[in-house]
Amino acid sequence: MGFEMFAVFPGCTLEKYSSELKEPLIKILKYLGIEWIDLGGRCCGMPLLLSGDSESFREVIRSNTDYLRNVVVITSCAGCFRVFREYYSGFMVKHLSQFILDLGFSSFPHKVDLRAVYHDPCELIRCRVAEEPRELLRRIPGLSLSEFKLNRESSTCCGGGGLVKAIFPSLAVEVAYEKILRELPQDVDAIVSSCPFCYLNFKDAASIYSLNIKVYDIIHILGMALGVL
Amino acid sequence: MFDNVFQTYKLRLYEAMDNSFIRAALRRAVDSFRINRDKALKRYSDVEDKRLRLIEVKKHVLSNLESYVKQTMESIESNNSYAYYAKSINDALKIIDEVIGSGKMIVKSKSITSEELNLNYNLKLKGNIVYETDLGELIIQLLDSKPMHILSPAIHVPKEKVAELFSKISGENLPPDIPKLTMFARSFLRDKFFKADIGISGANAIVANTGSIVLIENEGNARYVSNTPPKYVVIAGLEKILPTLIDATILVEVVSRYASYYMPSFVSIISGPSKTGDIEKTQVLGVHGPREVHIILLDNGRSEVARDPLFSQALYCIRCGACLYECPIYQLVAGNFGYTYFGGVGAIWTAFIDRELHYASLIAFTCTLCGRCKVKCPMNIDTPEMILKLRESIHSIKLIPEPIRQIIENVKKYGSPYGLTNRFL
Repeated sequence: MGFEMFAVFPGCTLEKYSSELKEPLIKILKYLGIEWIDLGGRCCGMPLLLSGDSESFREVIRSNTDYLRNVVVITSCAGCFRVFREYYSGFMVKHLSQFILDLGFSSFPHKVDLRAVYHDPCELIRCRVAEEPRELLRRIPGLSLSEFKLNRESSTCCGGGGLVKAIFPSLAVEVAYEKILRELPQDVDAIVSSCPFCYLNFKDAASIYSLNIKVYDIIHILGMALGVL
Repeated sequence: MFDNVFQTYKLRLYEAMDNSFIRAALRRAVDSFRINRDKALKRYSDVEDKRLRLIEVKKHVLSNLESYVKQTMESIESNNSYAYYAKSINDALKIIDEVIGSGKMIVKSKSITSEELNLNYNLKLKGNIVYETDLGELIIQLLDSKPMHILSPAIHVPKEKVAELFSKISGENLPPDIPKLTMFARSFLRDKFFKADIGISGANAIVANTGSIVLIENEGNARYVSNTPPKYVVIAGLEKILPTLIDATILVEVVSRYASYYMPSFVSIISGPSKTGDIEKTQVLGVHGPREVHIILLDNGRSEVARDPLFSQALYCIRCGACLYECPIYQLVAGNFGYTYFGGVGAIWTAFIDRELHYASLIAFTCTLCGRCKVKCPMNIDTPEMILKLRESIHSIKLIPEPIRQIIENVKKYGSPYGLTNRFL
């Protein structure tokens, strides 16, 4: 393998929720000691794709492609990941969980005492990314990992996708609430996902319905396990 | 105009979402559906090969639709039955008017295709009396409501409400006891089957080379509808055509298992009117069954959809209803996520068959695109991909809900759907 240049693509949602999502991501990458180009501030175009504005979507792809040639793109947004996989070409894309696993991280220095259940984001599971986030979570000391009864390819949606949350916000939250109510395994303190939309939607459901459950993106768990959060 | 439709639709979704009856009924339905479907698929593991074969058959029929329609009509006519091709809803209603006329008593079994024609309304307008005979559909009809599921139309109505409704009709005080309520429906409808002038049904399949109508059911009402009245009328979409009886039996197995049954109680194969030659070998039509059988093949946009490389797969749908039970949105709002046809795949039918573009847009934008329907579909229908494409068509005719217009504008202007908060550098 030749020279690899890493490019971090936080995506629009991590930018919008910067202190909650982007900053932890940057801290993790700094801890890992890699060098990267920051592609912050850019949008992968998914909102346009989902809006049906294919012409503008293609323009965004063209404009982004100039920046993405011959790099390894790292993103923790399941939406960006899927769009890069399915609609772009000319570079490699890795979800943060894949990237860290590929670095060969076999143990994490800090304990994270948590009984967590992993929620498969639709955008990752349709790209067959299921095991990498689980494998990382399993390597974290103190963390016990549970599964929803319907998991991996059979997993159910949090309601936060497809722009439904933008149009019918209460409906999206209600889907998350219904999933928690109906599917959450017993003796679990937290839901962990690896997609900002799932994270935000579950978090909204937990806060609106005052549920006794913590909600994390995998970024937060990794940050804690590395001692940067 | 569109913005008003959007607001009304949104209100309806939110009302349904907050309706505890709908929620409770759907939770129970989804749980038992999943258990029974998985049991059925496990017990008959050969359904996997059969569904793959059925996909190929459907693909073949839809890409040769015109010649299959021709063959089907010839076969129907050779069975002493009447075959009609209805290009549009108006054509279909005109044929129905000629065949049925007015002042008739009609028994009808559940047919979503007839919803497409708003058939009950149109029959009543001509002075006919129509009785829906499927239990769920009867409840819906008596409530003057709208079906909420293709197989279980009254899925959102709890037993207490049914008891109240049936008590009013019977003048007795019926308890919310499901077997007792079912018995009431049986006695209420019994004489209607025998008094009716006409029976109307849809079809689960129409066999091209034998002209047979295939009906799949559990209650037994469709048998009465097709058998007791002197005249039997079938309205079926072109996508119901299958080449041979063997294909139809494959359909029976696939659709029932994915609809969570081992085997449906009744499968009827009807190939023409009732007949006898028992006296001097002289053929007489109409013995115990109908004397006349009329079969209307409804196009209403189907042959056009069949030619589309992507959307044609919407016609593969065999109406098992599995996708609805697996849909996160449908589980909360039932058939309010839909128009005549429900769920994500319903958006495609709403756009191209019902041609209600406002609703097609709103349904398409109610889909989270999670893809679970595709994973669970026996026909591998790629609804998410079709929804994306439909959103594209909808965008080109500018029927986009306001929040989405804002998102598009924000991305174009500021490089982020959220607007000014993170501007492109």
